[in-house]
Amino acid sequence: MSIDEKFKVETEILKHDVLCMKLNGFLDAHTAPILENAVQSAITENNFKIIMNFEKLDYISSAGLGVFMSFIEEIRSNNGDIKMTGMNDKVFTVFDLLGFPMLFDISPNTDELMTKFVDYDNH
Amino acid sequence: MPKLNKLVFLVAGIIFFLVRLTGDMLLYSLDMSKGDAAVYWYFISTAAIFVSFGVYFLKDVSNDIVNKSGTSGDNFLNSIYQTFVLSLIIVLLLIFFSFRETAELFQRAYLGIILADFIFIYTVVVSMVNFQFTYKWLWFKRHRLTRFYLFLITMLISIVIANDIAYTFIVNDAKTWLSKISSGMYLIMYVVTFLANKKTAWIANLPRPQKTKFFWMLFLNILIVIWVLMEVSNEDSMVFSNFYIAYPMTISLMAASFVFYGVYLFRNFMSLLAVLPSSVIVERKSSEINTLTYLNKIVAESATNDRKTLLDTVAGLALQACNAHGAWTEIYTNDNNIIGSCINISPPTIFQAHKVYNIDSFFIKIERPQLIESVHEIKELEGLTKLAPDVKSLIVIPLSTSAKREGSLIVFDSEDFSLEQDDLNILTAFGDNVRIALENSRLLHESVEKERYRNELMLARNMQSKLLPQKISQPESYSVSAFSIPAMEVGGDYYDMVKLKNGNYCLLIGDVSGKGISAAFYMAQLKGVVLSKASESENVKELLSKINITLYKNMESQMFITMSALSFNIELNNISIARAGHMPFYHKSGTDIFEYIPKGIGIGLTDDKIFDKYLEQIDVLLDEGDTILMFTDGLNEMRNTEGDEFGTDKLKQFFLESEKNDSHELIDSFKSHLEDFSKNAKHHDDMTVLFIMRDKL
Repeated sequence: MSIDEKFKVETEILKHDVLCMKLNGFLDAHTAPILENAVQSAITENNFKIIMNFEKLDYISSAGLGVFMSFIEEIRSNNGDIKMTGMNDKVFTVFDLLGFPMLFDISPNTDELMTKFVDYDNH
Repeated sequence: MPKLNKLVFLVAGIIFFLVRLTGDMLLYSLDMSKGDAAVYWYFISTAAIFVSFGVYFLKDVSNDIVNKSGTSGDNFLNSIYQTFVLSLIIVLLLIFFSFRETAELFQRAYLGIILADFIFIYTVVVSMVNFQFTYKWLWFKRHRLTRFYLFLITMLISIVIANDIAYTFIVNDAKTWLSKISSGMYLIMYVVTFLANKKTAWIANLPRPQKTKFFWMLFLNILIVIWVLMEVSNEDSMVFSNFYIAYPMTISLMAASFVFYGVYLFRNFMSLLAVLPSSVIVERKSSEINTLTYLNKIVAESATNDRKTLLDTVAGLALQACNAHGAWTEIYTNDNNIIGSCINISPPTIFQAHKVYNIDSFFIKIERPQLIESVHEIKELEGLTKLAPDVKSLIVIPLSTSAKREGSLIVFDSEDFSLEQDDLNILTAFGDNVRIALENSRLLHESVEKERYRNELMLARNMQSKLLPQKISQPESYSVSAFSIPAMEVGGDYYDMVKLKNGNYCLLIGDVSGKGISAAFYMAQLKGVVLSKASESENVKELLSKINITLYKNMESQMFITMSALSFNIELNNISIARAGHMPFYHKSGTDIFEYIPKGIGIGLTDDKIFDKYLEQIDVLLDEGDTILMFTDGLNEMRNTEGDEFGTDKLKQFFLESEKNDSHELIDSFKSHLEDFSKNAKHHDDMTVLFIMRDKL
């Protein structure tokens, strides 16, 4: 299986300039650089409002979790954020045990997350 | 027949000859030299001499070793030089005695007899030597039919000699028949000798200087043979006309031997003539093969050589193979190119050519071996011609390994158009071999490096195993057991039993994100921090908080550590647990299993404000026989050979079903349970398991 088949990121611009990143496949130490590149591109293009969609994500390891941590400070200092949605139970458990819900907005409700972004703009 | 016995025959022969000589002189003094008695005397004495010398020279001749040492060519030349000298003397004698004045010597009283006898014995010996020489070499280079042919020839010669005897004793009418038979025998001998000398290919394979010597030896010997045979057939020969009466059978012996010898040499001569025109090319091809063989040997041994030695050797060999004027190798690096051995050109010249005229970028672009027949036709090489006028035509061989383009081998000549396609072909083969050698060398160095790393890792593994407790302190009323397996040589899992400020024991488990060397570093750092903060902390919550404060600033943003802590509170007779992002605790009490997930964020993810805000400490009461299980996620994520995960369900199930007396028994049982499940599948993550059991009374 080539690395592209193992993990893929699909990006889509939603309303209010929010960038939606769909993560598909396996996110581990091998494929983490693909996500890193995607986030780095978003930052370079001044897209600091990102919603990560985990619907099609089958597996995440600590390396994958680390990717969010490495960019979040820069994104938040630019008035943006990474919010997360679409997690299945298994993936959510991984995030939950680590305490990510205390650090990130995680919700199955995409609209709710969008609203939060709008609130940022309004501040 | 051993040599000693053969010598007997030689001595006998010499004695017979001396007897003959004496007898001849006696006959002369009695004036009976022309009588009937003399005829018998001549016949018998000649026969005796023939037999004894014949046995000496020819018995077991096929068993003699031709090649004592050295090459066939050298041995042949040595032997034929001897026969040449011996036969030449006969010719000189023939010339000497061809004048009336010298021939008169034969008429002198006793001197004539002595002279004639010695010439006789000499011709007999030389005939036999030539016969022996030819026989030996035919046998040495024999083929399937050689034995038969040699037998035939021996028969033919015997017939010829017998014929000669008959000729002496028989009346005139039959004489014409006899001479016809004789001629017939000679004719057959020509053919058979010719056929017997089939294997002449070895002459074609001789080096050129030897071929030249061969040519002259064969040519001159053939001339001698012709001379002798002509003299033999000449009835008016000054020397041989006397032989018919005084030395019966000698003329036929000589003629037959020289025919045998001559035809043999003639066939060799023909083969030599056939290959002489192409011998330059054959030499060259032969030399190329030798050079390639030598290079292959170098390639095979090259793994132990450094790159520079290898390239130096290659440059020299390449030069030889093409008969070129000079050569050099260059290796491309990021900074300055390295110039390897230079032959007939100086490194500074090449350096200059690179720097000033960018010759190296021209060479680097060449991906396949290329022949440049004249540098004047290539614009980019103008600079090279200016600096090195000797370089007029060149061949560039790119040298690369699978990793990258390493360098180039350049062979040049001092004349335009003197390097050819043939040269390019052989250098291309070189280039392939050099590539293999470079690749071998690179792989060998890599594997040596890898071996070094592996050894370092094994060392690191040993050292890291010492960071984990060899023996866990057992708090009173509890038994604690553990095992931990890293995924690679070193890992990021941690556990330890420390003492808090109030003296209570505290069991810790931790999991650094990732695995391998970087995780191992953080694990070591974590141990240090734990040891220093434990004695400052009153309880597990405080300990975890202090750990986070220290490490959060010192960790890379994408790194984090999950930890759980369990303290054994002697005063309160309970345990306290806290969890920083780690796996849940499982508590087995009787037939119940409880899962505790105290709130807590992983260490290194956030500063103390948020970390402390969400960190929860829970107190738990353990009954006798109750067991707590702490583990890292390497355990539940472990897969067996079919790819099934062990999972928390199987874990809980095992936990529930186990009934052991203390945690040590429990952990042994768990280990075998795990082995059964995994069936030796490799585990992909570090795995740690801790059991804490309240003592049964």
